Amino acid sequence: MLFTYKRSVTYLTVIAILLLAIFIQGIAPPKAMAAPLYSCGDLQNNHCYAVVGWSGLVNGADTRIGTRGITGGGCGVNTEMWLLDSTSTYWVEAGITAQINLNNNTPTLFWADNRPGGGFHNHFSGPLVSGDYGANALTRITLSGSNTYNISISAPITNFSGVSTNSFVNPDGIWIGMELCGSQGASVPPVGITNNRWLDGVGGWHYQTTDAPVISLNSPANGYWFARPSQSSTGGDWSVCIIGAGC
Amino acid sequence: MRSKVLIASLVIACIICVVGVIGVFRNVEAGSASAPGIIAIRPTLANGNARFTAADVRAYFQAHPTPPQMSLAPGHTAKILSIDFITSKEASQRMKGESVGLPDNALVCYVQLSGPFLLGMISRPPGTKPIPPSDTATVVFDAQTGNILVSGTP
Repeated sequence: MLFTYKRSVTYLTVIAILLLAIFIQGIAPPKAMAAPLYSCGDLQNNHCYAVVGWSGLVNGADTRIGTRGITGGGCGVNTEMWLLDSTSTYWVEAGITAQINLNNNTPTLFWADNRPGGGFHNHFSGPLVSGDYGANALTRITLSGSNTYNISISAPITNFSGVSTNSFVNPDGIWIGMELCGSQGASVPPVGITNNRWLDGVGGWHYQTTDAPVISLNSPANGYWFARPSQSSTGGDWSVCIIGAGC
Repeated sequence: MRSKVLIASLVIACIICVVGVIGVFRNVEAGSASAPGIIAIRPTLANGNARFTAADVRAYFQAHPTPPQMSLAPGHTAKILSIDFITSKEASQRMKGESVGLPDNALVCYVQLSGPFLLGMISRPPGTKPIPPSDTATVVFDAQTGNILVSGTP
């Protein structure tokens, strides 16, 4: 016989092991390899960025941030959106963070604000769960009244929201991208920041149609237009990753 | 007998194949969301409005001297100034209206610390001025879960 009993069982065993490996890989949150050493400052200064930004008075903005297995290494990494005042002194931000000493470096939804006379404060969800990965988090910041902002971040399972009160007026900067701090261990596979929109003064949402200029781009933080807003009907795709660990 | 074993092996392989395809396309149900906040204090009380004590808070800061994302200015030691179990609304008022993320009448543990503290990994937009060191910092814990909901400076 071409296939003996023993050979058949051997082949089936090999196939079963391969399929089991595919199964395990399929349900595990994807993780990128750790980055080599880099110089992205300490906990306060000289972080590395891959950020683009639009300017102009708006009433809010939203975007979709890819939910992938990012890790912050010895400091941290964020993929996020900022809404800033005209002087870039005060802001509200929201997105996904992975940091040392924060939920075991597991990606976590967050929002934060720096308010005039109100200091800086950070807010955190619980860690993302496996069903959140491989999708995106709708991240939205909108003005309610003259100086109050509603913030919401919605992944498939984990959602987070808040309100920033007594905040700044006249938001006119929408920035999106990645921030990296530290010197080793962070990893970010390509994360798309897509469906970028701005909110006008009468409640109308508009996709971005201009290619936001680069605000800051410092290796190993990397960013590129996977789809330019000027050539997209859905606000473009600014993709970010870490060179040597995901790009 | 051998043909039965062969058929059984084929059936098992098919089942693993189907499950593997499901896993690849992530149709596997992935549980429910975690409680909000950074996992911090493990509740030590079985029930009650507050499921941990001030002693638990002190023990936490003994092991984690600074709030999340902050570091101490060199040569200084962090100290706990106060530990208060108050409502979410009162905590928000103490932080000049900063949202806590819980209903107004939910109980939280409001902790004030002295530093001075350097604000680390604060996701400052590129090109903006660094936020100066702060003499004090605030950490707000969910009184039920022990998770950190808010951390910041005045």
